[in-house]
Amino acid sequence: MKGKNISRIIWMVLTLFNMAAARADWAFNFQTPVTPLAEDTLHVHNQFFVIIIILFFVTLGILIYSIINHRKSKGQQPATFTGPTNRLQWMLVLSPFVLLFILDYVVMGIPAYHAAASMEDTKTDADMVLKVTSSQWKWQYEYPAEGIKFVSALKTTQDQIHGKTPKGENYLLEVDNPLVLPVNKKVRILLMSSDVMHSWGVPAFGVKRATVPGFLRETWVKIEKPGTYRGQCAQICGKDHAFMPIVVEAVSEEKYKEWVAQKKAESAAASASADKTWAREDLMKHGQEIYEKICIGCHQPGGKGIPGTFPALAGSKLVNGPFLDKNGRLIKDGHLDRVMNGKPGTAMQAFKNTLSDTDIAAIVTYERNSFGNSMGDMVQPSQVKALR
Amino acid sequence: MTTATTATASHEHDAHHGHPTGIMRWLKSTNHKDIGLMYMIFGTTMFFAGGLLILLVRAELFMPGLQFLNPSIYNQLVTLHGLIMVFAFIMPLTTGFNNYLIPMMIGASDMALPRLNNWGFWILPPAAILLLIPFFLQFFGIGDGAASNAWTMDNVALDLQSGIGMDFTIVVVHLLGISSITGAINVIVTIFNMRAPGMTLWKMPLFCWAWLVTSFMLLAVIPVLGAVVTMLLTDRHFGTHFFIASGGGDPLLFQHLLWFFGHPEVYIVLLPAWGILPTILSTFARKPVYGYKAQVYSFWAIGILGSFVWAHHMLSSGMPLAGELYFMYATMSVSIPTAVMIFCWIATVWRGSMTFETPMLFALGMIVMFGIAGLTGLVIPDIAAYAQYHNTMYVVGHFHYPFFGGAVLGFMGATYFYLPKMTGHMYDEKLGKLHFWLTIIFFNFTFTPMMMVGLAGVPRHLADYALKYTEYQMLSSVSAILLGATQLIFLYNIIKTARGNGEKATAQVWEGAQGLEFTLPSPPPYHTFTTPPEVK
Amino acid sequence: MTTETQSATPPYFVPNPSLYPNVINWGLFLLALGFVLKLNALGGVLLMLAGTVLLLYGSLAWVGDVVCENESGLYRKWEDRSFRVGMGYFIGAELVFFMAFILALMYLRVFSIPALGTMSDLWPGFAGTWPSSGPGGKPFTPMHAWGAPAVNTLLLLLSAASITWSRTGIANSNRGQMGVGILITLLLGVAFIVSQFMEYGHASELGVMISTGAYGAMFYMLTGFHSLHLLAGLILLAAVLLRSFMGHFNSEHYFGIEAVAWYWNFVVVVPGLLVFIYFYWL
Repeated sequence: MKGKNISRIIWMVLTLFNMAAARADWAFNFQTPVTPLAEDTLHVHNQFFVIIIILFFVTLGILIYSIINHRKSKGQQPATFTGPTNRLQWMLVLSPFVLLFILDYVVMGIPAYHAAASMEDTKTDADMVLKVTSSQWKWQYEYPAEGIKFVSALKTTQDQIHGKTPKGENYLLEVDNPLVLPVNKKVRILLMSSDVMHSWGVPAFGVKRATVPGFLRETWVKIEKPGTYRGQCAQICGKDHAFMPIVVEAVSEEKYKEWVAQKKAESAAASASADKTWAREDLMKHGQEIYEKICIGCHQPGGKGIPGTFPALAGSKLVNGPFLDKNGRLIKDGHLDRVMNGKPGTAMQAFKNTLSDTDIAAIVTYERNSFGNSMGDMVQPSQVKALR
Repeated sequence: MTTATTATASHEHDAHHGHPTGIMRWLKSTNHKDIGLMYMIFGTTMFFAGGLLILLVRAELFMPGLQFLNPSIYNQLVTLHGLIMVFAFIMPLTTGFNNYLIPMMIGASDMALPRLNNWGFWILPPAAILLLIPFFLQFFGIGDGAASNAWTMDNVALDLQSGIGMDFTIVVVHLLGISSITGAINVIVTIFNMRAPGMTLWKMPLFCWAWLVTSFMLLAVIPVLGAVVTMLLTDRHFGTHFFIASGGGDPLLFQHLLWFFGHPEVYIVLLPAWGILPTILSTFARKPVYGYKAQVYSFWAIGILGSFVWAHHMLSSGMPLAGELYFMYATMSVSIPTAVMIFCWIATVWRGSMTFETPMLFALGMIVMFGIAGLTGLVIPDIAAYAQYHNTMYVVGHFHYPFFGGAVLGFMGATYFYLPKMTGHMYDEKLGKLHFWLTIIFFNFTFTPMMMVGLAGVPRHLADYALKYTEYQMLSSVSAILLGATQLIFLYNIIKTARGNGEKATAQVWEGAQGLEFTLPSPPPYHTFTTPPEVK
Repeated sequence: MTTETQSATPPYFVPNPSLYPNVINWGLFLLALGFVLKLNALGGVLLMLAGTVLLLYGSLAWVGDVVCENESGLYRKWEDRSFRVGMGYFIGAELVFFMAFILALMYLRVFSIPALGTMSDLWPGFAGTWPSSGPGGKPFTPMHAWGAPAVNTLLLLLSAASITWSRTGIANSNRGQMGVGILITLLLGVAFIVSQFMEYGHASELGVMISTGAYGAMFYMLTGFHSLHLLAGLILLAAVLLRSFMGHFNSEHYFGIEAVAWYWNFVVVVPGLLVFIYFYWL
């Protein structure tokens, strides 16, 4: 009876596995592959799951046969052997050796060698280069050939996360500025990090690689099907590790060119806007938008911070202090200096690397005149531009 | 309660000299059975503490969205769960068994260095307190809580950024390192120097062999862990640049050194369970252990091979191609001795005369669960597919199979197996079987859904997840809470037995039991084998 | 299978219950707690002091117990062997600790720094050759091997010879040779420490600070841990010297000296040599 119970339970569990292995399009196996690497990966995975399921059931079958037949209640007398005694038994004993050796080094080892070699070959026939820089907790994408650079962060609102409004379809898997890549082009991806390690992974591409602070890491993708693909940071990177998704929109070559032209125009406009003099209300409004997107994760709604971890901005000495000296230079550890250059060794990063002049000016103005802070002063984007 | 029974039962046997009573008996103890019991009680307490922490986490993951934990507390709970389960539960528990059993198994009067033994145990409670202090300090506005970088701490730049919890973890690792090293030295010396006449190495029970290999592994890797956290400490506070690129250091150096400890740690946790398993199987199959020498050689092979495969944990961190290939092929080789052991286990019960008491059920359950662990792990180091597994929930599901399905099930079986010997009373067989079946069901329903969502691409350590995984996470959460509740049956059964309920156990306890420990009365007297027995 | 027989040999000595391990542990607890609080600027100096007092009291009392038991003849060959095997494996663990640092040095020299040299996008103009304080590090002049470091290493090798000579002395019941040997070793050790501290002064003149990138970190950590172990070795040497004045040790019982000799040779001399060869010289 008990033997049957064991087998029944194991059978149930293993059936789940079997379903996972046999059907690639099923929701709980790998996501549908769209790159050559991901196709290889899925192939290896499926092949292997079939093998291990067979191995498992053969072994389990022997064990269950023994449990059913070799029991005291059936009057079975115990044997006394402690090792192989004849040639057949020796062959049985050696079979796991041979079997695993072949499995490990032939069935699995040879394809793995080729897969690894092609995975590491990022340079051959690469059509374009993409630079990815991670920081807590967002991604910055740069197209060096096109001169385009933008930050991609979570779009899901805090209200959705805390259950105050209904969750959208792509809850936690949506960003404000998705990465746009052309299909059928080999994209060499250079990975960097500005603070701690993160990991850039998109399951549909079969790619996952850590970004290591101070080092370059490389990988590549060649997307074969247009569509929107989603991934998440795969290396614990602090408080908001769960909230830094990756969204890639793969588009046809023409659409990609349109997108590049549009992005270039946008950045030209942003650069121009930095030179004009902004009205205080516009800066405050823009600052609030940026605060709620970028700063709120640590400094919290209302600038309250998290005691002991992230300083409060409301009533902060730093925010309510001067930020420029008499000669118009940055005061070390003043408000603007902290926002632009960050504080090394903490989650406060140098935002001059990721935010535009307008954004920085807006955010500093906003912080100095919100949460009960009322400095009354403001920073112009042109000032920030000059201080870079 | 276990303690009280043993105390009274052993009093009449204690003919030598008066030993302190009350709290001093435990604080000052140099007796291997007392220290073994303390280790086991400490480990069990920590098992429930670590379990409680992760149940909070599972409750948070029951639904998408953040309900009652903020992400920072979430990360702290996950980290503490890992640290407590590995360092404060499994390692002390297996050490407790070695303390209690090894001297009796080899016919020694005690461990070779009894005062050192006391030191090794009593360093654990201060260490556990230090580990938990920062978690509670944060509620008084001091510091930012316990370490929150997952128990392997492998994101070193994040370690450098973290607050006071990291410093506490570093000193705790040093203290636990002292405990592990003194424990390992004690086992080695006991086995090499304290065996009864005639008890040759090749006559020792497999449990002693397993612990011998474990001890060598501890000596080889724990100092490295000590060194790497020392470097972390100086990087954090004294301006060195071991892991900072601008000074020529490398975050991957930290990962290499850490996993040089971390991967052998898996075998350190598993080997004692592998050692005790054949004993249980052979007792209830009434048949000698199959392939005794083959298993001993497998222990050594796994111990040695397992120490040189660490970097398969780092395939997604980026290494030179040659390094990736070496670590993949080397890792695969570990599967061969593992297969030999599984073969030996099955051959041990083959054509035996089996009965199915609770320890036997746990032993058979462990073979199956460990089989799943080995097979699901076989694919992970494959470079052709690692990207889909690494740092996902698949890995979380996978490594709970060896840890829980291997080590914990094995030691639950061992607990039922030796409980009559330790307390002198039989446990409640019905409750034991109920405990087994509920554990095995809820265990599988906790961890297979994790593997499922992992294959679909959900990274680990996420405080929140996308909507389409909700059903699986719910299943996992509900099963986890039931799995936790099931362990209360276990606790109740142990306490009931320790209080003297249940029929008296004979010296041999089990019909098929062999070995020196079963020649002693149950419970064994306070001092055993003060004159060494002659083993023929 | 087994029978208990009444054998003539007395049983293995199991020491009486002892509170000292607990005193040490709670001392360590206070020391660790104070240390962490101190690092995070939350006070803690008093805790550290209290911890150190408990730690010292516990260790001295424990060692005192062991010496008394030894002198009252409770330890025989069997117990002695336990101490020897235990000491051997403890030294093994210490060697692994040093090897972790040496391997870290190798990793930085062979992998990390050359790799940084190839990443010109991130670190333009960094050559990636050892000795280096990294792409963002301060400039410095590397230490010369054939000055004080070579003399220091020679002192260590001589001390290894003298402690071995001393051990041979007691094994042949020559107490004079034993005492002189320990004394010479002690003096050589002190000379090493003095010279090492002068070397630290010299290093800071050359711009090698603990914050001077990989080179500075490795220099201070390797030599620092080496010197700490050497200091511990000196305390042990002083202790056995004191015991030898009190008439302890004979050709049958000299585990104390044996242990110190092993410790000195394997924990002090071998890592010292490795540091000289792989850090200063090559």
